[in-house]
Amino acid sequence: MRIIQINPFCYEIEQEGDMRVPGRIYSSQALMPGVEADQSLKQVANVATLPGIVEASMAMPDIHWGYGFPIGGVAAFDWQDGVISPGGVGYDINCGVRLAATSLDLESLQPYLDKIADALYQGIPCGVGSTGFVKLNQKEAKQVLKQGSRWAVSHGMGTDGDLERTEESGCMTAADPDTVSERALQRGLKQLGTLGSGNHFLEIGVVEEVYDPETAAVYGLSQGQVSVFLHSGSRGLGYQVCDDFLARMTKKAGGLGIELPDRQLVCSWINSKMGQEYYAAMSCAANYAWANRQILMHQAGEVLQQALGMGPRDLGMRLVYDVCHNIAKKETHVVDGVSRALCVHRKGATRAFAPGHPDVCSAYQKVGQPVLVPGDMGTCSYVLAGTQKAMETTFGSTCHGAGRVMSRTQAKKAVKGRSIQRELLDKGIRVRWTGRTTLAEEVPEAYKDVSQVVEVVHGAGISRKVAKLRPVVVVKG
Amino acid sequence: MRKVPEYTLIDHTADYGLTLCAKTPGELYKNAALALKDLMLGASPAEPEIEHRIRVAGLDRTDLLINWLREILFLFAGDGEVLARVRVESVGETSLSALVHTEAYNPQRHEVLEEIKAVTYHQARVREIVGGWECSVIFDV
Repeated sequence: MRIIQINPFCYEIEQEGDMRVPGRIYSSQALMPGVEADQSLKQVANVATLPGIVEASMAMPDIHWGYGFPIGGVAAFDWQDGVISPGGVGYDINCGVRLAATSLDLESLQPYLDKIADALYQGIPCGVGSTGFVKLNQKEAKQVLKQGSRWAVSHGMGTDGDLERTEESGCMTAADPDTVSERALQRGLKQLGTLGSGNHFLEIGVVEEVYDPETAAVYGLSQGQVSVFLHSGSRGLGYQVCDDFLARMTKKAGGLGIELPDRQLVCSWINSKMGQEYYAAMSCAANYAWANRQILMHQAGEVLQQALGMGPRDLGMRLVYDVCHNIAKKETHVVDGVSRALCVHRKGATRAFAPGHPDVCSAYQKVGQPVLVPGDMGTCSYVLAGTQKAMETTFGSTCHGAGRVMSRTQAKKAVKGRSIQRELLDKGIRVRWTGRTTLAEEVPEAYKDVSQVVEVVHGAGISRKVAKLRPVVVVKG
Repeated sequence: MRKVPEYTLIDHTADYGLTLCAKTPGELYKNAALALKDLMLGASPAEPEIEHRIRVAGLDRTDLLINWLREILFLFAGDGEVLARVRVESVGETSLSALVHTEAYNPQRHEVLEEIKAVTYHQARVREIVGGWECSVIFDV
């Protein structure tokens, strides 16, 4: 595999063998040695062999070794002649993040941080096996799959303004609940309104630094302001949808007429019955995830009001934006001067649409879509804005987080004998968690430095820095 | 709970994998199921209270392993049951039949160590080696 540095923030894997397009990695001299240490570049090259891929198999600077597609991968396929791959979306369909601003400042909140940490830990169902406070029957569950965030809003958990500030308005219209298996429904019925485990979190943070005051003001963010940040996805329902279609597509993989370099890359023609059924089922899982985050954020607001003894007006919690980072979507992009319908897969990558794009809500038309990039629990997170350069070079995509550098086993070895809770508290971060191994596996050094990742996407121009957030309370499953 | 089979963790950046060996294919598939339970629930005890007959098919031995472990994972993730005992009754290249016993998940008795989301095809392998069989599989966590 021959890798050439194109510019300070972009590398290319030369097209060779069965690759239909080159690979393109957004990275830097600081990050690239880590990328080359695992098998993720091979995975970028593998994705480039899939039929109908357009322009390049791309990877964002938070790239790391996944299964099939790399995490941090972006690949667009022609809607007429291309494929759709469940592995290119991932198991946690529409895993994503949402950020809310509040009217509070850190100084006034400081005395209550322990109380808030305890209250959020008690009030937000998290961890493996947790069940949500929203009880669904099969009929109601199908409405969730059809309506997404709107279902939660119509049940009193949010406002119409929340929908406007959610990618796709919190609903993919291709959703067809009849394409979702009984097993997927069974896994999802009890989990609506649960955070999950692993790297999913709820954070209270503070806006520590503002890089672009004008855009930050449009997003409703200012220095010293308290924010609420949430990371969760489609829970067991999404995992099962992905798994069901991987199994079904594997049985028919021979019909594709290509040799897959990795079975996890199994796919179907987008315009086949199977491809359309997957897109409809994936849309259902995406809608479930949006409803889930809408419910969780609403619940977080209720918990904060109760813990602080204040009403909604004083808390002033309002959604800044909600983005997904595991998805495949039909989008129109200009390729070589021609407008084309594409199926853009973002697996651990975030949409970063530019100012003026019709899919950016009216409030953000002039500055572009907010991009939310969570870091590890001990460092910081970023709010970025989408750019025209992203539209022109990455199908309107950018990074999604820090990206792991240590395996979970390595992380557990690295923290032996240390109190991560104490270390975080020394940095002013209160952490509450459920799983015995969660803190060890999620220790900050298990991740890349999110600031280095963000410098790459900012330097490459595929999104631009708006603000930095620092966590003060972290709740994990 | 029966004795936990020996397995080696595969060091994958984002996820967990395991590799293990056995003398026969039947033992291999049985031990892979018990190892998956061990990854998820450690030494949590489980009594054989609920019986399941599981039949799976696959394109080859590797696909069969994935489909088999999918069923084992669903017992916990979907049905809320903890694996107690596995008896592989027959196994060929493309089909497997087993009698599996479980106990209903009870958070007072069972501690979940890892949430396994799914069993992946990535680098999955079943192969015959000198003196037996070996398999590798990576789970999405």
